[in-house]
Amino acid sequence: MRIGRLWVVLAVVSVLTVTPATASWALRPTPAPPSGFHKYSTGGINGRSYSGVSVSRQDLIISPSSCVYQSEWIMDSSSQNWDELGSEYGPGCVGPSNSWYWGWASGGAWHTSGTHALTPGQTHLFSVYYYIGHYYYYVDLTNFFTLYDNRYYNQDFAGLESYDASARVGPFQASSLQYTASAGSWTPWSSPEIQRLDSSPMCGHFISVTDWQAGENVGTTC
Amino acid sequence: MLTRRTARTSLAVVIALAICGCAAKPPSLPPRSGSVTGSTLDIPTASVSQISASPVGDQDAILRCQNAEKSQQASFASANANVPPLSVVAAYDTAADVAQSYADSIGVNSSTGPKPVTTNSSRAGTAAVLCILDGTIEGPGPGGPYTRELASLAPDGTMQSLVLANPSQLPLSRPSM
Repeated sequence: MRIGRLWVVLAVVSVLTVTPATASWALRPTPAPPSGFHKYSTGGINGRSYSGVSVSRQDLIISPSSCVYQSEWIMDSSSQNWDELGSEYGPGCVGPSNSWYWGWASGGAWHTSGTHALTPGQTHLFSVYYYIGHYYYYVDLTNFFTLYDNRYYNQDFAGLESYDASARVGPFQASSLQYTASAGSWTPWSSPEIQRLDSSPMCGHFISVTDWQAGENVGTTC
Repeated sequence: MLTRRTARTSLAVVIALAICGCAAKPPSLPPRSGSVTGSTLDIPTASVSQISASPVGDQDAILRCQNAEKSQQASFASANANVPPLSVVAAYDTAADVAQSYADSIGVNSSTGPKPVTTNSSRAGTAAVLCILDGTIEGPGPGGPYTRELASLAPDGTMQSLVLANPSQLPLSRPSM
């Protein structure tokens, strides 16, 4: 009877120590394909009631195996609401590869409002700004989208967002960074700068307060 | 009092439980992204979708959405792209203006929330197909990767992304204005 009790105790202990993670050996299916990579190299500013963001930059010449975005956005502090304009490359993006894209997010839900084929290697001015109850999305002098949005935001960002761990991107510069605050006039970025810079393979830094340099898998060159 | 018989019975039950791991808390289902950080349980998105219920909605819309997704996956595969497959979980025949109005409402909490300014009223009444897909979706912004997509079918049969969200924001019910 004592041996029986001992076995019961040992068995119970072994059951209690079987955690979900260690129990999964019996459930392991075929490994998933590589996924889950989602990193940023973006520079930004905060501290005001922003109503616009503008950046001059070159569209990239890349062919990633997953989606890479060259983006700028104006966002609130909850990171749930923002307006965004940029360029996208590779498969799996919200539109065709090598396109400009624009849209907005509310409550964390992203709304793709349009795309337009881009010409790699060209430099353009990308602007999103508020004027009398609406946000206007421009590339150079062309208005691609208008959004009724009666909000100001806490942060402006510009840079690189990647879903491809192996993409080699840049380094490129998001230059001539400007903002509008409270529907005022365009103003060059100034302190305080902030950044959302993830670890390797992403890299980035402010060359100056109005120029963010971003890259991925380019070693120490950025 | 624990008798020899009950002890043996308990032992057998406990050993059986230990082997199958049933007494331990079962592993949680992985998110739609298909992987659980820090765990050895990795289930591809497609596997999760394959064991989920059949798509809901209008049968012809479901077939058209599935064909569009298959075609898209085939083009990704031919380009050696690393894009996770999506599963059609719902599809509906509707009107273009209803589809757009529904899409614009997702994630918006009030009537004063953001809303695109549209000048094209000719879409009213035009037929449209809405597809709802689950999987890992590489959308822009801090919400990504998203786990559910609302897309419409273009006249040429290709899929156009409208909204990326999560299942609680984008239910499988029929869109309405």
